[in-house]
Amino acid sequence: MVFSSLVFLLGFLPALLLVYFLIPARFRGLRNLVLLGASLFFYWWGASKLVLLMVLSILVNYLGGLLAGQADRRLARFGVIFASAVGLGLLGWFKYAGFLAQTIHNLGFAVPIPQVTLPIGISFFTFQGLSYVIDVYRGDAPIQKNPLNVALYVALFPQLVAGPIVRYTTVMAEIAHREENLPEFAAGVTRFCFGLAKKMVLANSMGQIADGIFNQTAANLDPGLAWVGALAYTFQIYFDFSAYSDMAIGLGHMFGFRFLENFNYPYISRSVTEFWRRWHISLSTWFRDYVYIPLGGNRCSRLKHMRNIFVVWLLTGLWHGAAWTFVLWGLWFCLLLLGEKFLWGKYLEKLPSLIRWAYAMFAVILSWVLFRSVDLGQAWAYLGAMFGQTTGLAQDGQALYYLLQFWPEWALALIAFLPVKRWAQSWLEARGSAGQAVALWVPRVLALGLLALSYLELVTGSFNPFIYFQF
Amino acid sequence: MKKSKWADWLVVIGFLGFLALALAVTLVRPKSGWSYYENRNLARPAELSVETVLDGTFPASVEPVLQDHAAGRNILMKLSAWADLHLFHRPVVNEVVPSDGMLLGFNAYETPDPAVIHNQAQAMAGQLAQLRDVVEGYGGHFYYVAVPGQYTYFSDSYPDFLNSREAYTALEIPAFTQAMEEQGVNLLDMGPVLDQLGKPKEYYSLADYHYQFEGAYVTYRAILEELNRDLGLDLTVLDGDSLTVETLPNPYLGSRGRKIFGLENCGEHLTIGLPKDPIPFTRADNGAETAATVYAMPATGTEDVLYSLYMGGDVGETVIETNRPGLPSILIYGDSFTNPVECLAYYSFDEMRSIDLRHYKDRTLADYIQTYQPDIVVGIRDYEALLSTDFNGSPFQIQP
Repeated sequence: MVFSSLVFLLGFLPALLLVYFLIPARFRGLRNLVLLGASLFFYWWGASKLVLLMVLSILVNYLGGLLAGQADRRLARFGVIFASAVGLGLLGWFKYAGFLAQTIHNLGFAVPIPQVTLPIGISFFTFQGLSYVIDVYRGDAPIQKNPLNVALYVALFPQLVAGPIVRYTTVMAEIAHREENLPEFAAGVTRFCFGLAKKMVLANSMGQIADGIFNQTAANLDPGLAWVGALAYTFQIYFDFSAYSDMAIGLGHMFGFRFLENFNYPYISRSVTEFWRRWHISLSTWFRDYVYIPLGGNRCSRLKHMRNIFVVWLLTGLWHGAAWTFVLWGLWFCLLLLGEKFLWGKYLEKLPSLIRWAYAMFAVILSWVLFRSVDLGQAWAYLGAMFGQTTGLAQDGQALYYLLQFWPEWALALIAFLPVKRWAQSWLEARGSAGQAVALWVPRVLALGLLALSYLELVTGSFNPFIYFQF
Repeated sequence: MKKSKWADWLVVIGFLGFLALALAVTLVRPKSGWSYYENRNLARPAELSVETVLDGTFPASVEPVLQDHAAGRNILMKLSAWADLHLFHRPVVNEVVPSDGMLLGFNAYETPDPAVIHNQAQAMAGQLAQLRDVVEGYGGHFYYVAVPGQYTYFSDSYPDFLNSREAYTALEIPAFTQAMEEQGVNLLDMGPVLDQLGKPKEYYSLADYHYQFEGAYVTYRAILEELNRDLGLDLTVLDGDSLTVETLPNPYLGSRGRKIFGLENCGEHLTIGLPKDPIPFTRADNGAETAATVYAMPATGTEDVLYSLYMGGDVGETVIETNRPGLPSILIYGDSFTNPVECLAYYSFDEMRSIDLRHYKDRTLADYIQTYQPDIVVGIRDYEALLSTDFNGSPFQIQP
């Protein structure tokens, strides 16, 4: 099930809210049980019998957590190894077996290529479960003896299939004791409505453009059209993914959970390093805390430091997808980050902000071409088309069509990637009581307007993919 | 109560109220199986059973059903189209291009490949030559008529950045003409005929893919005159003296206008032509006798009329008998472009059969012709369908 669906908005969410809030707050366990049941139903609705895989993942992480928290360090280590082996083993089979077999096959070895259905959100719930076991092992979190609480942590529907990757330490206290109240609920509703509209109005429109262009033969695209497609995908992936995070965070608020922010206006970054501090924060901090630092981080020789960065970005690329395009995408960022750290970073800082921003966006846009392409051949041809290596057969006004047809969405996108909301809020709050009243009422009224607009888009539109589900 | 609390209540009540209202209206709203403006069946849920629930079929079928039956859907679709047309002025709205006071069709961007088009033209001409051989095998005569569609007729009216298919048509027509010449199949291309007449605007619909009555009449006349000339016949050709032409007062909702919910109809009306000296005839559709009319006349003078006014729309097989054995019989086959031509053509024949390739699936066209052996067989296809074997475009195959 996806948040931007009528099944969710008109069926699942109202029914859950009704049942959940009919239970008095003092019956916290019962409320949690309802939330868990709803979360499993939410996953089952889209994944069908693959829900059993998630239940297995929960069970493994629960047992792993029990072992990881033992005073006997050998047993504790076994708990981590057990949970990691099973969790990553399942992830490896479902996500990477086909890729691996295909690669071996391409090398000339006759191996069967397994046809495996990728369970939605497997990368998210695997990483989330592992973080619980590792945190328990490290002593950062206590053992959770109640399996239902571990299950709720892993399966909690707002962040289940597309993040943010919530750490156990972030929500462990809230699972046991949290307060659902009006201001939190209202803030959640407002955040959810903004996220929903961001998805329905901006991400979907940009997705239509990107799909329309990327689905053509890349070598035929004229440079203008290729750039329009790359820009559209740049906007689509941001609005799509950050919208999902907005909705997840908003839903979390409604049920008394405070998830950490996952995006912080990444497209205003003035370096690639800054971009990765602002983009998919929960993933980059996960890799930082569970891979980069354990490998030694930057407190080691330069060569090992570089190796650590390389490993993290190789894994980041692979986490996003089982394809060479994702590997290359990760390595592209690895190179840029190494370059900024050891070569041109200090020179970059001396350049005007606009040039630094242009550099960062150029690097990011090129990376999304790799990310969006179905294979390296398409990526290469598409990048070639962007820089004039094209047959130019498609010089037929398409670029202008995509700009004119979607001009309201382009205009909105150009505003929405900037921290306009933050600027407006600061500006209004500095204007005394009148400004504060506007800052109080306008976002809420706007949220309801956006809900109506999203409903219109849901009812009248047919293009509504969630691209981060594949990860 | 503090102001912030009022604001919080507003958003919470507004949110929950909106969802509750939308859900309630969706549930109690009378259900229809058909969307008139979209011209399609609305989604229905999969059968509810343990099996469909467990394999995910039922859950997957619910969202499209909710979308199709959601509260306020028709109004919202109309509102959305209105905003796209009048507020945002998008160049394309629901695959319709509002331009030059017309509603043109949006053509997907394409890179026409001369070799592919050449091969398709050769293949289609080859099949038509075989069909001609079938007809001539029992002593009949075969003619093929190519008519421009709206995008060709009004190609100049497309904005430069949209695809008018000029490049495709410029390759398609010469390739097809040459291939038909090589095969020796009679081809009447209405493109040059209409060009010679100066391409009057009123000959083609401004809000529909088809021609207007005037364009259809010119086509009808060109066919009949060619038959008389080639075959030495003396078929009656209805003209200004023998035909009463009447324009209906009803607004014409063309297929393009329909796609944008009738928000624009270009002020068009439909015209019919009635013989001043009518003849009795019987009509059977798909084997069942039906009213002896060729126009599906509206009940009132105000309701919208559709292109289905002509021959009552698309019917798999229609047979009109005028019981005049001295006259030849004719089979006209094709798609909706044949309909207004048939409204006039029956008058000149003893028997007129009509096959809509998209709907007739009892046997192949070649088998049908062999079975009934009409004296004259005329295929009418528009430029878009000319080389296509889709929708039973191949005379020797039936597609499911």
